[in-house]
Amino acid sequence: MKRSVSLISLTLAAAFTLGSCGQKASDTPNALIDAIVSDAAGAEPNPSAKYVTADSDPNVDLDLTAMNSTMVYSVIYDIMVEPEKYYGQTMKVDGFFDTVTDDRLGTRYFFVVVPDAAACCSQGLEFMLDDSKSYPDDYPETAADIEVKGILDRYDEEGQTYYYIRTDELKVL
Amino acid sequence: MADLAAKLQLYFSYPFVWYALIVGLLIALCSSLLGVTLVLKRFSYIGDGLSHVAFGAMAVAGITGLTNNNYVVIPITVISAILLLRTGQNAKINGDAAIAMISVGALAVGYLLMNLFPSSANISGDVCTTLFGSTSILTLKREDVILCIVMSVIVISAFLLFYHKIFAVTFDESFMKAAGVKAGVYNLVIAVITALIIVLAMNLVGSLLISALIIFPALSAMRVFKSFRSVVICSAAVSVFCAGAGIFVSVMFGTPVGSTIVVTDIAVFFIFCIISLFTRRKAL
Repeated sequence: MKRSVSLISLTLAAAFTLGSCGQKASDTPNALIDAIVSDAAGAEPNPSAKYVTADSDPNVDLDLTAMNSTMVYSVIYDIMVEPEKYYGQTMKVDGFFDTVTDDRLGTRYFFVVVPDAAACCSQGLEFMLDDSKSYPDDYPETAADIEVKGILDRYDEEGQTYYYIRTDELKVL
Repeated sequence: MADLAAKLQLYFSYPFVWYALIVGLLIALCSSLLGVTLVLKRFSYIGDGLSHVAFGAMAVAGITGLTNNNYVVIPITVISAILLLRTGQNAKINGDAAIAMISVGALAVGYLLMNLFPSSANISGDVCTTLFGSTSILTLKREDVILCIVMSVIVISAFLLFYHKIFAVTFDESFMKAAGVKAGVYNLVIAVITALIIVLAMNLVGSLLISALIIFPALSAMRVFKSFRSVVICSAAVSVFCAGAGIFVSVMFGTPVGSTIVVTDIAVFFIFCIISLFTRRKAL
């Protein structure tokens, strides 16, 4: 009986593997994952709105300053990978300030950079102050600890869509 | 307490946390099943050796520029596992020496290649992530979870299918050969499964801590249970519990995932040592 179950499982697994090689992944593992991960978690683009903790800002949808470093890094990575889930949400994030210039386009970009728990890797979220602000007068020094609060917006540049935090609140910590 | 509950609800509302939990539990289950066999065959350090080989293979994959490193990592790791394990007890170079040789060599070659041909600007970050896992487990995509589920089904099914032969080759390979059973084939099965688990487990705990996933649950179970079947079942239960608890603590309190899981394994090992003192005293 055990051998039969094992043979069937092996055959199914081989079938799933072959099926996964195609463009559409097998439905069964997806259904299994959906059964385990609640529908609310997958369908809700704004999970944090429902769960306000004692130290989170109730005026923002996603308060990354109230999360630990492991979760902050992971959430920001999720924003990078699936930004459309978070588009339009207000968010608050702290990290250190960094800026780079694209010499070819002549454009300067501003980031709030968040390291992971071991501080060996980091993720950066682009942000923009309104047009009345100019660099370097209205921006902090590079590597300064900052807190950014704004809305996740997007823009197109050279055929690519980029997401950024549109903000008029930049606090130097 | 209410705040902890609110944070728990918040963090577990993110799909990537559930992905980490699913993958973590599956990897822990698979590694614990093989761990009993590897510990008894005195190949406890095979996880470390093969993970270093996988590290070197990832460096090679980075040079090739492939979108999916597994096309290079899995074959190289499987071949190394076969070389180390398939030869069994009659290898010209003993198991521990072979593991040390391949392990250190692969680590050195891999780190050299990563420095000579960096695939990103953050070399130390890449190395740190590969060696310790960092937050890799919390950055999985749905496709990664599906792959893990499929590979776990393969591993568990193979273990169930070849359970009696794995048992035999673990305890008395020579007798098995004398009885006309092809021990080499089952050593090959163990080798391939071990390699697959190592590649999967690197995402969870990183290269340096993989051995803990393999060794500690088996050793904990052996403190209390004596039969092979009961040791395997207990090892699986311990491993899954420690992985789940480690991921939970890491997510809730911001500790590194890999080392939290290993520390949990260590704590459970000491608990089982204490339990064994009482059970031994009772037996006397």
